[in-house]
Amino acid sequence: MLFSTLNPLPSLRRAFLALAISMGALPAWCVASEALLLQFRPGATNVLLHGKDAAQQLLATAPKADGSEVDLTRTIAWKVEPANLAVVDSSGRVTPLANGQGSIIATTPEGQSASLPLLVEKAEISPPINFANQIVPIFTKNGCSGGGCHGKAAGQNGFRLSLLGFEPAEDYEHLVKEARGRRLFPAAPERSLLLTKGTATLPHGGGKRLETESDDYRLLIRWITQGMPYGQPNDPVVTKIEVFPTERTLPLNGEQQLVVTAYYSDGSLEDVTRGALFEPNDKDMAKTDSLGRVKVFDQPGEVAVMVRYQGKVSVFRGTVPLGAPVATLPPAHNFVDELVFKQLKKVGMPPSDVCDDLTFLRRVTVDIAGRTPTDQELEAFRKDTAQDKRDRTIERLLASGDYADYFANKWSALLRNKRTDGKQAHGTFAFHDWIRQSLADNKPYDRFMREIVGASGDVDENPPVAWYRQVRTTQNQLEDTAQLFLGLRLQCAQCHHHPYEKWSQADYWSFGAFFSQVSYKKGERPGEDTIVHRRGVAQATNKKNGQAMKPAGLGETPLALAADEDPRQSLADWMSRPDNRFFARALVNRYWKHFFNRGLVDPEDDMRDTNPATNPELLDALAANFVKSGYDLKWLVSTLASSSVYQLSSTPNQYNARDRHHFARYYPRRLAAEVLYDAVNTMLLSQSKFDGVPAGTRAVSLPDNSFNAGSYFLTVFGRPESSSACECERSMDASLSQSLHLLNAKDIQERLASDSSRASRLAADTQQNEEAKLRQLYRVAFSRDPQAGEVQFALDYMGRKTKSAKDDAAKTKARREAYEDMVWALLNTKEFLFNH
Amino acid sequence: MAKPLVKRVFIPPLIRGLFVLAWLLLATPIRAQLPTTRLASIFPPGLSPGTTNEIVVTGEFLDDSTGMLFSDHRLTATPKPGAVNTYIVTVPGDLKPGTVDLRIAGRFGASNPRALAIGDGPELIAPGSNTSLSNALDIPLNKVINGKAAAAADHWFHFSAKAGQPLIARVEAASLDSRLEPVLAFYSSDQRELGHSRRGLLELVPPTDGHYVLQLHDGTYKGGDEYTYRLSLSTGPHLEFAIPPALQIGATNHGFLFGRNLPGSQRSAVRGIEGGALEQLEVEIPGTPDAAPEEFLPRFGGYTWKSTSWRFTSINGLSDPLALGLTRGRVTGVATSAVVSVTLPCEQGGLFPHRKEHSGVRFDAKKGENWRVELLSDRLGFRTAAGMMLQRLKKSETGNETYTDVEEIRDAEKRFEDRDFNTVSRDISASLKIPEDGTYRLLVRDYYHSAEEGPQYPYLLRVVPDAPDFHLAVVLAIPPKSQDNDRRYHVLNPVLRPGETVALRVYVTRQNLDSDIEVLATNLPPGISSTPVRIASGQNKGTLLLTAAENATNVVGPMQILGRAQADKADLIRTARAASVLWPVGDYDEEPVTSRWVRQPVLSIAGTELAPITIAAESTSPLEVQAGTRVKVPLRIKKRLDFTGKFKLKPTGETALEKSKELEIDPGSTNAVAEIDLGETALGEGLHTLWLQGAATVKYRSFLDSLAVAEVDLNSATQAAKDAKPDDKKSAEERLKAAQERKKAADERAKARDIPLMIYTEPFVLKVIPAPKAPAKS
Repeated sequence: MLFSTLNPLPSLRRAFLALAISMGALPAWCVASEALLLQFRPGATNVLLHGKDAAQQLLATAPKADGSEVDLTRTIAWKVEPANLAVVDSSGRVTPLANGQGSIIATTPEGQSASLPLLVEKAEISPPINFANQIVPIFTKNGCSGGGCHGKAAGQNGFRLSLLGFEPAEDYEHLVKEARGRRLFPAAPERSLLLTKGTATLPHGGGKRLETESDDYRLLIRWITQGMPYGQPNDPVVTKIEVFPTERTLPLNGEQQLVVTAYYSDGSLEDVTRGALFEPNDKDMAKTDSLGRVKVFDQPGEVAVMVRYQGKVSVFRGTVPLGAPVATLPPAHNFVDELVFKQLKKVGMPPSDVCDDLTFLRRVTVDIAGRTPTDQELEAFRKDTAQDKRDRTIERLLASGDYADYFANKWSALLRNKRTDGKQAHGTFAFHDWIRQSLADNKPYDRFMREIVGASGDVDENPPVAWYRQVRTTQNQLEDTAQLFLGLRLQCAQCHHHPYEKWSQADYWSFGAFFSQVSYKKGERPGEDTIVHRRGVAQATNKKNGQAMKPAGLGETPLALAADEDPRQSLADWMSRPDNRFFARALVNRYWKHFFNRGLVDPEDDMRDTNPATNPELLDALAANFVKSGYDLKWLVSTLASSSVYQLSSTPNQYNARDRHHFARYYPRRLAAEVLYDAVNTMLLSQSKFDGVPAGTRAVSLPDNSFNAGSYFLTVFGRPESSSACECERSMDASLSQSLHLLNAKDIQERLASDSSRASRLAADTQQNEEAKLRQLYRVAFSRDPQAGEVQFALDYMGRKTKSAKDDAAKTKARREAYEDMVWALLNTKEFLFNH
Repeated sequence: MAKPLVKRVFIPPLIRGLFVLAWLLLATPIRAQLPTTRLASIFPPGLSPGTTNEIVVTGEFLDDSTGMLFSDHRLTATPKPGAVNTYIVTVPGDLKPGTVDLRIAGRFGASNPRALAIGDGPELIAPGSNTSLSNALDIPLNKVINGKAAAAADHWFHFSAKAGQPLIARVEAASLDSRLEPVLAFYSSDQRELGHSRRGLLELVPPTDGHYVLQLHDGTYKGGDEYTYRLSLSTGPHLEFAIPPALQIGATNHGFLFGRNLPGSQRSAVRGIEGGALEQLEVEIPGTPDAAPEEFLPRFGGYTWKSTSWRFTSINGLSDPLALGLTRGRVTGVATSAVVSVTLPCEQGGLFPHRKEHSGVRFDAKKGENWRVELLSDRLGFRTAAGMMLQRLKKSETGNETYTDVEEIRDAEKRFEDRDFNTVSRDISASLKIPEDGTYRLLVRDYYHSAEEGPQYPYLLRVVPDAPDFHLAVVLAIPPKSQDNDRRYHVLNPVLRPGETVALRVYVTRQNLDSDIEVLATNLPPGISSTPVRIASGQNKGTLLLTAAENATNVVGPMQILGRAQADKADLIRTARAASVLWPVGDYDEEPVTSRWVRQPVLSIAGTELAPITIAAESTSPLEVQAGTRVKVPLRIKKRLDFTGKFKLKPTGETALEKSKELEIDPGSTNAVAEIDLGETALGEGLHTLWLQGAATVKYRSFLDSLAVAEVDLNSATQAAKDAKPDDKKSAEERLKAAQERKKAADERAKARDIPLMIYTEPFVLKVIPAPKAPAKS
C-alpha cells in the first residue's frame, strides 16, 4: 500500500503515536518552537511513511508578529534522526530509507528549530500499483490528456486518452489493449512506446514529457513490470483532495510551498503534491511549478491557484498586500464599505477619495437609469444641501421608469429575447414588457426566476414562455439556467467531467431532469410555441452510460417527484432556498459587476471553487443580506450604489493605480452601446428613428435585438444579439471602428449639422452669451461646468472661427460651424464616452 | 333578442355618380377569388342608444352600397349623401348594452360582419392627434372614448381622479374585431409610472387627488383603420369570473363573483390576471339571463357548449360582460380549490388548484356506468389547459384512506385543426367507464397555472350520463390556391352569383353518437336552393352545396343550417354555428388566421353578374341505377367567361366516391357526360346526393358597367373639348384630361384577370336500387 492508513492503527503505529504524545503537550497539528512551525496537513501530528513509494511534502513556516506567516521550507536545514531512517530533500520532501521511528528536525539559519515524529514501515515493499490512482495522474500532470493533445475527442495521432483522465477505464483500454498492445512492452518496459515517446527517445509531437530519472518514469516502469495491473475492483478511490495551506498572505515576490493530500474511499490519505496540477488564475500575478511551489510577482492583489488531481479540485488563495499605510478611510455607509475597507487595510492599499457630487450624479444616473443626467437634475442636485441627497437620488432613480428600462435591456439580452424573424415580434415585445414590468414592480428575484424557469402557457397569457423559444433543448435549458441564475457553466459536464469543477455528467443530467417534462406545442401564433408541463415522472438519460437520472439540484440528493408535479417548480424551490450556495451569490455578483465594472468573481457567470471571489466575506454578506431582504433587487441596487466604495473617485492615488481586485477606486468603463447612443442623441438634440417604434424611443428601451441590424452605431459599440446567457456577449471593448464612427460617420455628421441640432440652436440663441452657452454644453456632455481654462479655450477657438468672416451671414455660418466643432469635439472625448 | 334578419336589397341604377368611380380607383383588391363585399373596419366602433351618428367604413368592393345590415334589426342606417363609405346610423333608445354585427350590402353581396358595440352612456371620439404627452387628450371618467391607434405611436390621455377612488381603465378591441393588442400605462402628473398592462385592463388607486396620465398603444406599435378601440376609465364594477362559471337555465343560481369595485365584497385570496388579489362577492344570478346567448362569442371550441354574457349591476354602474356557460342541470360551486363530495350526475364549479393543492369532485360509482366528463374553462375564454385524473379510494384495515390513479382522462373528442377554423380546445370532453364499484375522485389541474403564485381560473366540471349528442359548425369552402406557395387566407362570404353553386364545409363534433347525420339548409332566401347531405356514421366532416337560380336577383337572407340524427329512437336536431375569418392574411406562416363566430349568419346573391360557369345534370329527377353497374350523368354546361384551358371535375359527395374517375371538361362545350362506376365506388343502395367539383382558372372581368360609364364620359368630354369656345377651352381640356384618367382607371379595373375558381356542379341525386338476383341454379 502506498497510502498511509490512519485506521486501524497497527501496533507499531500505536506505539509511535504514544511516543509522539509523550513528547509533551503539542499544538493541535504541529510540533514547533516558538518561531517555527512544521506542517503538512491540518490535524496531522506525525509523519508516517508506509511502503517504498511513500513520500511526504513538509512545510516550514515562521509566524510573524503581525499575524502573517512566512514559508521557510526551501531555506531551512532539514535532517532526520536517525539519519538512515529517511531523507528530506531541499524542497522539504521526505522519503523512506528503512523501517523504524525517529524524528524530522528543521533548523533555521538563525538557529530556531522544530521537529516532527517520523514512522517508517514496510520500506522494502513496493505495493501493487493502481492504474486509476497512480498512473492516470501522470498523464494529467504531464499534459498528455489535455484537450490540445491526446485528451481531445479524436485523440492525437491515433492515441486517445480521456480528457484530464476522467475516464480511467477508457484510458486503460486505449493504452493497454488498443492497437494490439503495441504501446507497452512488458518484456522490456523501458522500450515501451509509451516511454520512448514520452521521453522523446523516439520523435514525439508533444516533445519530451518525462525525465528518465523522474519518479513518474520509475513508477511507469514498475507498473509495466508488474504486468500493467488495472487494480482491484475494491481498491479505494479518491473522494476529495485538500491543499494546505488554503490561504496565505504573501509578500511581494514571495513564495509558498503547497501540500496536496488525497482522501480515499477507505479512509486512507496520501500526499499527492508531486502528482497534482497547479494553475494560477492570474498569470500576471503568480506562477507555479510542478513541485507545488507558488511564486508571486511584484503585483499586489488576490491570486487563486487551482489544484487538480484525478478530477478533484482544491484551491489555494494568496493575498499579496501592498503594505502601504491605510491611515484614513471614507466613512463606512454600510456593510459593503466595512468589508471592502477591512480588506484594503489588510492588503495595505489606501482607497481614493470619495468623488465629487456631480461625478457621482453622472455615474449613478448612467448605472441605474442608463442615461446621463438632465440639466434640471444637475441643478437640483447642486442646490440640494441635505446630507442624504445622494441616497435620495438613488431612490428617485430606482422609482423611475428609466431604471426599469435600463435593467430590462440588460435582462432581455441575457434571457435571449431574440427576434429572428418578424413573426416573433409579438413575443419579444411581450417578453420585454414583462421583464420591464417585473423590474418596475420590484418583483422579488426568486419569483422572477421562478416565473421564467417554470413558465407554461402561451406568450399572450404568460410572456416568459418566450424564453423557451430560444432554449429549446434540455441541454440549453439546464445550461442557461445554471449560467444565468447560478453563475455556473455546466456546458463541459455534458460530455465529460467538468475540468475545473466537481460537476460530473451525472450531476449534469440530474440537473437536466428538471426540464425533462417540458413540452412544446404549436401555439396560436406562427413562430410562438405553447409550453406545457407534460405529465409524467421526471428523469433524464445520462448520455454517457444510458442511466436514467432523477432530478437533483447540484450537489443534492435526487428527488422523487410525482407525475403531476412540474419538476421545474421543484427546481425553483431548490434555487430559491435561502441556503442555496449559488442562487443569491450569482445575482449579487452579477449586480456588483454592473456597478463596479468587475465582479467579485469574474467572469460573473463562472463561479466555482477554482475561481474564488476576491472578497469572499463580502460576497457572502451580500448574498445573505439579499436573501434576508426577500430577494429585493432595488434594495441591492440601493445598497451597492449608496456605499462609499461605489462613490470613490476613479482618479487613482499613488498606491491603487494598478488595483484590479480590491475596489480601492472606481474603475471607469465605456458607456454601453445603447446608453452612448442615447447620450449622443441628447448631445446633438436629435431624435432616434427605429423602425416600428415611436420616433424618439431610447435605445435602452428597445424591446429586442432586431434593431441592431438597422443601426451601425449599436452594432459597432457592441449591443448584444441576445444569443446567449453570457454577459460577455455585450462587447465593452473600444475599437478603431468606434472611434472612426464617432469622428466622421455620415449619420453623426448629418445630425450634428442639421438645422435642429444643438449646435445650430446654440449658434442661433441670442438670449445667452457665448460663455453661458458653453457652460450649458459642458453640462450636457460631462454633467459638470467647464473649468475656466476650458471656457477660455473654447471662446478663443470661436473667436478665431468668426474673426475672418466678411459679413454677418458669414459670421453666422462660422459661429454655427464653431458650435458644431465644439459639440463634435466634446462627444469624442473619453470623459463623454466613459462612465467614470 | 334580435329577430331573424331577412332583408331584400335593391341595387339602384348602375350609374351612381363619378364619386363612386373615383373611390374605386383607390381600391387595390386581392383577387384570389371572385369579388365579394368585404368590410375591414368601422369607425366609431361603438354607439350610444338613442343616438344618430355617422359611421365610416373601410374595405373592398364596397361599391354601389345600399346600406348597412345589422344582426339586430332595430338599428337602421342610410348612406350619407355626398360622402364616401359614410353612413348615418340610428340606434334606438331601448337597446341594451351589448354587441351587434354590422355588414355592408353592396354590388357583390353582403359583406363579412364587423362588431359594433352598443354602450350604456355617451360615446366620445378621440381625434387621434394625442400622440405626444403635450397633446394629451382630456377625458372624463365613466365615458367611453372611441379611437384608433396610429402606427409607431403612443396615445396620451389626461384625466382627474380622487385619492383612493379605484379606477379601471378598460380597452375593448378584440371584441370589436379590432387588430389592436392594447398596452396601457398609468402615470402621475410628474411622469412616475403607476401601472402597466398588456391585457387592456388596468387598475389605478390614485394616491392623491389630482391629474393623471394614461398611455395607450398597440403591443407591437402597429396601427391604422383596423386598430380601433373603445377606452373607458370606470369607477364601476369589473368582473373577471364567476364560480360556478355557468348558469342553470330557468333557475336562480347562487354563486360568487370575482373582480374589482364590487360593492359589499370581501377581499379574496385569489389572484387576478394582473396579479393582485381579487374581490369576492356572493350573488344570486337569474338563469334567464337578459343578454342574448349570441352576444358572447367564445373561442371556437365553445360551439360545443352554449354560453351567454351577463353584466352585474351595482350602485356604481354596470359591469363589463362576463362569459357564463348555459346548462340545464343544477349547477353548484365552491369559491376555492377543493375536492367536493357529490352525487352523480353533477355540475360542479370550482377553482383550479395551485401547486400541491387538489380540486375536483369525489363520488361513488358502480362498475360499468358510463359517464360523460366535461370540463369547461378554456371554452369560456380563460387561458387554461386542463388535466384530469380519476383516482379510486382505498382504505386500509386501519382506516387510512389513500387514492390510487385509475386513468388520466384526456380529450377524446375529435376537434378540427383547419387553419381558418381551429376548434381545438384545451378543455376536456370524454367518455368515462367506471371499472369497478367504489369511491372515486376526479382531480383537475391547470397545466398553465399550477405554481403557488399567479392567477387562478374557474372551471365547471360536469359528469352526466353519456347520452348521444352532436354539434355542428359551418364555414365557407376555401378557394383553390393560385400557386403552390400561395399561403394567403381570405375573408370569405357566402355570396352567390346567379347560376353559381358554392360549398359550405360542415363540421360535426360527436358525443357518443355513431349514427348518420343529415345536414340541410332551411328557410333559404328566395332564389337559393340546397339539397340535404348525409354525414355518415364515423365521419365528422361534410359538404353542403347552395345554388343560386340563374334568374335570381339581389337578396340577403339568413343562413340556417340544421343537423338531424337519430339517437335512442328520437330525433336530435342541432343548429350549426357559422364562422368567418376576420382579416385577410398574406402568409399564414407569418401571421395567425383569426376567425370568430358570426351573429345572424347570412346568405346573399350578387345579381349584377352571372356565375362564370354553370354545370348541372340534365335531369332534375333522381337517377335510378342498379348497384354495381355504371351510371352516366349527362351534364349541361353554360359558360359565361373564358377559362384558361380544360379542367377536370371529380364526382364527390360521399367518401365512397374517392376512387371515381375525373371528367375532363372543355369549357367551350355545352354538355358533357360523367360516368360513375358503382362497382368500383361501392355506393350503397338508397338515395345519394352527389356532385362534381374541380379547380379551374377563369379570366374574370367585372365593372364593365363602370367602364361603359367612363367611355360615355370620355366621349362626351372629347366632344366638348372639340366644340369648346376659346374661353371654355381650358376648362374643357381639364375635363377631358380627367375623363381620360377615369377611363384609364376603369380599363384597368375591368381588365381580365386570372382567378382560380372552385367549380361545383349543381347536386344531383342517384337512387341506387338492388341488382336483380341471379336465377337460382336448378
